[in-house]
Amino acid sequence: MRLAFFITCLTDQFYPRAGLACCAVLKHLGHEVIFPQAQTCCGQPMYNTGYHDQARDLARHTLNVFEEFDHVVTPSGSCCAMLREHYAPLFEADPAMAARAERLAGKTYEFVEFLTRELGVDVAKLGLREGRAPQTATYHPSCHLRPLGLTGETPALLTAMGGFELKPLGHADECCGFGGLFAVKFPEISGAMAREKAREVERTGAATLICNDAGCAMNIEGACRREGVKVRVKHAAELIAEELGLRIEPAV
Amino acid sequence: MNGEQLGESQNAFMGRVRQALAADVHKTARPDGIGLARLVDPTDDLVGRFIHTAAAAGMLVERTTSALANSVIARLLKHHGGGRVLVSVSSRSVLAMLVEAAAAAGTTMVEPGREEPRGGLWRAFTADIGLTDVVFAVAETGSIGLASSAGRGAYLATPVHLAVVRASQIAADLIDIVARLDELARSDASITIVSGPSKTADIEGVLITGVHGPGVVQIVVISDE
Amino acid sequence: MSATVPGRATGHDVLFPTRAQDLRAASRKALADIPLQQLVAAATHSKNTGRKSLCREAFGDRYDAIRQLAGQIKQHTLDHLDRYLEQFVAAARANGTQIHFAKDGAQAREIILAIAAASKSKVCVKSKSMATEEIRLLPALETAGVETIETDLGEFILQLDGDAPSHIVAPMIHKDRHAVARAFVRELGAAYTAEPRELTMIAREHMRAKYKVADLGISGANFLIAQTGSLVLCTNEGNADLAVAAPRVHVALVGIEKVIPSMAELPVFIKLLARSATAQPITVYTSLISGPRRATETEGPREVHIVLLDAGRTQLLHPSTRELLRCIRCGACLNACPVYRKVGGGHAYGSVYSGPIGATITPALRGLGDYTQLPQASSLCGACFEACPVHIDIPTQLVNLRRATVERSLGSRWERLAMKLWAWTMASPLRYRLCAKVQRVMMRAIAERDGEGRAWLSAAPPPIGAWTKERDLPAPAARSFRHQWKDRA
Repeated sequence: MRLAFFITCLTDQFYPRAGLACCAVLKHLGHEVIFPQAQTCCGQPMYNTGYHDQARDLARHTLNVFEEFDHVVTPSGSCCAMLREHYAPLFEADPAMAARAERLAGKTYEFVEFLTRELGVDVAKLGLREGRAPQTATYHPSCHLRPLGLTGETPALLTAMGGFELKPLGHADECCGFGGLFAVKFPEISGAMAREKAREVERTGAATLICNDAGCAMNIEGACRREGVKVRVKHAAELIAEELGLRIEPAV
Repeated sequence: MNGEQLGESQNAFMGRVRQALAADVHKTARPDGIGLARLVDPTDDLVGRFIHTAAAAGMLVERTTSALANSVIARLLKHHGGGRVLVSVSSRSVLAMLVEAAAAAGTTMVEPGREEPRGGLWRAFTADIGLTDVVFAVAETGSIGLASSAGRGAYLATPVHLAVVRASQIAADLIDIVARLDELARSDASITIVSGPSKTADIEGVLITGVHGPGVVQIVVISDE
Repeated sequence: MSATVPGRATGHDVLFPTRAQDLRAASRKALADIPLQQLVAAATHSKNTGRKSLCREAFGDRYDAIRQLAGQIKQHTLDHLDRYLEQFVAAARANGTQIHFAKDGAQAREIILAIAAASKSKVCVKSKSMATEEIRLLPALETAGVETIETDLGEFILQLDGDAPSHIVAPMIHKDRHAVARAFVRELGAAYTAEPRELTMIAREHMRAKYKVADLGISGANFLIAQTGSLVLCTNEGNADLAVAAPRVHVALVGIEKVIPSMAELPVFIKLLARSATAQPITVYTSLISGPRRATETEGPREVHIVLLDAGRTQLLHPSTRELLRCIRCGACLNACPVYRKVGGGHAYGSVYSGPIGATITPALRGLGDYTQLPQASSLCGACFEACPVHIDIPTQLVNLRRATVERSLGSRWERLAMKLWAWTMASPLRYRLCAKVQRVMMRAIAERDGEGRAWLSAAPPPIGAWTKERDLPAPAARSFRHQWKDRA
């Protein structure tokens, strides 16, 4: 298939490795991955803070960039939710735009969702590398995955892949406290939530935290670092790429 | 006093309501899929289910037959301390049996209040046990239904409430008592669905029973199956 | 030790601030109050977990569908509220209930005081009602010479201690047993005991004495049944039932949004309410009051009055906010909300209605200008939406309020400027790349490298300093995804 990749601004700048891993995995599965260079930001920060005219500007731009493609894949659940749930309502007063937004919503996928539901990938047939030492890992499901109904996919995928001792994260479905601008508008509350999440990660004793949203990752990784919790934070795509033996450049 | 001269006129008040609804393009239809919320099927063992859920709700339940009911009630009245018993019934056919049981237990009957200066409830405050029948029961929740025409004190104010339930009165699910509630809402000023002993956890989440209403609810289920 | 939020006036003043509510300041104090944090966390976690397990056990995977069903019933009723209210009024009058219409809190107080005066009431027993808190009824009754006793144990204790409720359903989650003990010694002359059962029995005896002499009973209502003109009260203690049954006159103050069409719909709400509120299948007492005592009855009130309250509800009834009126005041959203937990409960919101629902209705009922922070203090995690038994989309309502804040220029001027600039930058790929480069260079310049060579900031100037005060911030990668992708091509 011909897939358009929506990197999302945070992943582009802060976790490029996650994006590269997604593309490498999709290519490995035999698909053509296009990266439309003109893409910028989905507009979620503007939407969430009530600047809806500005959100519409960015939505229009994103629509212009992506609507020609048949499938759009993104590594971030929250950006996926923005396109799927909020673009059309933003254009309530403009039926033509709303229709375009609905069409794009119908073909936008979160990466793990795309692998498991659209491609129906059978991990047992993926050709994973042999003889690796089992890693301990734990998984933080970001909040936007819940309304999309996508919280079970990543753990199921990793369990099927094998080679991971998946430790359940305590209070996993509690928000990590990122919330976009919430983190700097109410930093004390946000920080307290992030520290609780870091403590839960510590309690699992896992070496790796799997987190598929760049915003959550920045927040939790930053809190773990400040609290002295030693853990590597990775997108599920990076783990899959590693298991497939695909080379991803370091993100340093 | 004609209390309804106070406040705003109905027209003015409703005018604001109508105004807020005036521009509506779409109205939500009245959902009819109430059955989606059904938790217990009428074909289940309703007596068994009722006994289980009532006990889980913190009530004491004993099952007996019509022949033995009288002696079971008398024994339980004694077990719960006897003393002053307030008998209140909705169905007069049961009254004689309850009065007999109360006498057999050696308890003193409290006369239901008539025209007390502040309502008849204060009689219940002096009773030790309220002895009642019920107007319905629900297997889903282990609940018993009480109605005000029987008097309210025997199930709201006494420390112990002993309720007699006939198996045929046990409905499966809350959905199944709707028609009965409609009926009772016409005949009785107050219907109370009781699902346990009075309780609170306001102080640090510690569970305490017998706060205002009865601290002990004893149910006797009469089933001849 | 009483874990009240330090520095705040006690009593209900904390719920009626005279200045714009500074939730952030209140949150800072609450976060430092460890006993408060522990009390609130324990209370809310257990109820939230309990709700989930009870609903899973009872409804299985029908849970969401049943919440949507309840939401649709309420939405339908609200869409036809004129018809259902009129049906309720007619049915209630037919069973002997007297109906009064209060356009606002002041008028509601007037009505209730007039009823108290006309019935020559000296002692009033009251059961828990958020609406009565909303209209500040108690001080008005006391001033009018009506001794009023809260009979719900939590509310009774708060009344004694001059304190305010901090949760819609469990009003004193912020208070521990020792605070209760001290209040009882001070106000009731009781011997000191901090044992919950003993404290409860002291309260019970005190209140029983009042039931015996009370002239007037006041309650709220959980539901109003349009078809039969009945009001429904759901409690665990039995205090509301005694407050209705004992006195000669009963007054229920009820918001117009409490109406449901008929008895047929009631089971859906009963099955959801207690599971959502207190992690139990049903409240101990579910009572349906259909007017004053019948001719053949010897107990119960001779007069029943229902005061229907608007007080901003017809404003909320407008289409964009109408779903907020579905609320059945279960408190599930409070129990699910990580922000509510962290700010130590309701006092920080400066409103009778706190938590997620409070953040959405308070600006409408009391003015957005004084409460701009409330809709902002959320990460939009959606836990409230998932907990709500009537499926209210609280996150969308919060975003709508944020939009209103922007449109009415109620937010910070700097933020407005910054957001417009940011959006302008993001709208062009060239500006995006330029801005990204500047950000990368500047942040990596002040960052420290870790053992793996990644760059981190542990301190930064505002506005980023707000982040780094609480946790580290990764600097942008040396080469973004775009750079690396271009190089591979």
